[in-house]
Amino acid sequence: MSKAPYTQGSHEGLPAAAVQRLQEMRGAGDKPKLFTSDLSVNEFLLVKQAGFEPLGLVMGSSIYHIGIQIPGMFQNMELDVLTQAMYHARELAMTRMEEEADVLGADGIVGVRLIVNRQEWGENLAEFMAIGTAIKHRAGGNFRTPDNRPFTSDLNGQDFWTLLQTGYQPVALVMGTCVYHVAHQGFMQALKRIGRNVEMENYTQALYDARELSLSRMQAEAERDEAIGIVGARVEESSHGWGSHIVEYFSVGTAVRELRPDHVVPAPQMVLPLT
Amino acid sequence: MSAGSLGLGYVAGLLPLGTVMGVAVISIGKVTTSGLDGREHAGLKDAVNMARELAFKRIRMEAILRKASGVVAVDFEMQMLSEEVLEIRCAGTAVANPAAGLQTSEPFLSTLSVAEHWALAQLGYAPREIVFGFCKWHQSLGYRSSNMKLLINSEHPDFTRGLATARNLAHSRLYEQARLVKAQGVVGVVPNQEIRRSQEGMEYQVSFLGTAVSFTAPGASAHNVTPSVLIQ
Repeated sequence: MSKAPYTQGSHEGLPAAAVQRLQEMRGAGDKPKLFTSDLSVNEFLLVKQAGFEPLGLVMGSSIYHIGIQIPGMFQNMELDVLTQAMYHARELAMTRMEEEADVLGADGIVGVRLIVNRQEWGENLAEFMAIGTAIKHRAGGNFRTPDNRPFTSDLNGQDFWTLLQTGYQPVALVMGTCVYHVAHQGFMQALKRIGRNVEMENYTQALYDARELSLSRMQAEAERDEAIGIVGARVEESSHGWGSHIVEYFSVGTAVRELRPDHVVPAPQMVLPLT
Repeated sequence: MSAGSLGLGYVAGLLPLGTVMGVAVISIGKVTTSGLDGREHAGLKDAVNMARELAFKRIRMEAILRKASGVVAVDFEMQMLSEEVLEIRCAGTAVANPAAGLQTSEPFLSTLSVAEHWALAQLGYAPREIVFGFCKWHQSLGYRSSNMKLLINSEHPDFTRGLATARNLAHSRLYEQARLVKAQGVVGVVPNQEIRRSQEGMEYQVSFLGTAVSFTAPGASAHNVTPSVLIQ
């Protein structure tokens, strides 16, 4: 799983009308500049305090047809067709969101959410959506990722502010996924367990493997982006309607790097809230 | 309004006067459209515009009767009462600034809370108007999609394009409304999206709700506020 190369200024995935709207938001032609943001007012304030200007709400999406892969009943295995689909569709959505941010002239996107919608409306169809607020630093500076994408982060305004205060900057929203088929237990296995407390090794092993694959893929992305670590990392578990034995482990977090090698973390202050 | 926001409202010049509301129920003229590729539900678009304008006019009227300078914490709701009847309802708290004397300009409308107004004022922004961009779009299966292979992974090109178009239309309308009141931006935007499978394809309903703000105090800056981190 690797990302397709990214060209700054490309807007392949966007409708022409969207490109025009985004350019107008920057103040092209006779239109005055206008920003939008889905940040709360407090987040808005903190993003500005940190030296950034919110430019616009940016979104990208993909409605994706997920292929079919039929695993053996008694087999623990990764369903690579499904893994590939879940990764590729999210990447398409992310790239479109990044393209929108680039048209706005942004340095990066904060508060990114990745949403998968899978409802009764589509057999094997799912909607993947990426949404966030594009921002730009008032003084300039390089906030792009090593492969020249705008930076992305799923941190909210409060966490973003705190991260910058402590001398780190977000690089990229990194993710890894693994769709795994957990084997059904055989008849003999079930028979041996009657009336006893026993670990179900094949289940444990399956969940371990799947989580491990997902996490290592997320880490590989952070390494590729030359990050020093990932904050807010988590693993989400979902079966997206595939049935009880097929699970997706989706790891996601914000890869960070140091603003300067000699940065200082300020000492925390004690606050006693009255509420 | 809580005791805390009452005190903050006093500081921020937003003293509560009472609840005001505006409602409009509209019957939708042209009900459905369908096309070979994709098409907007134009009748619904017009109905939403009409209902929004009427409901806002009514809530403003109530606010003016109370001599308010604006309405905060407005709850904006849109619902279909039936296939052909649309309701838009908004209710909020009318507020006045006792320091400013008699209000002469139109009262502002805002979805934000008193605390959020105070924070915005620190940045030099004042609320102007609630903006609501809406689009309902029908997308049919195109030629490329009907030939899709069923077993492999692939993006659905027509459905994806239809959704992007619907979203862009709704988003553009949010901007147009913000530009009409000469705002500098829209804060607290809440996107909402519903996707339904219809007989010929897909149906998307996309909306964006937010509060348009304008920059009124050039001296203000975010640096007047010292954030502190609460570790819980």
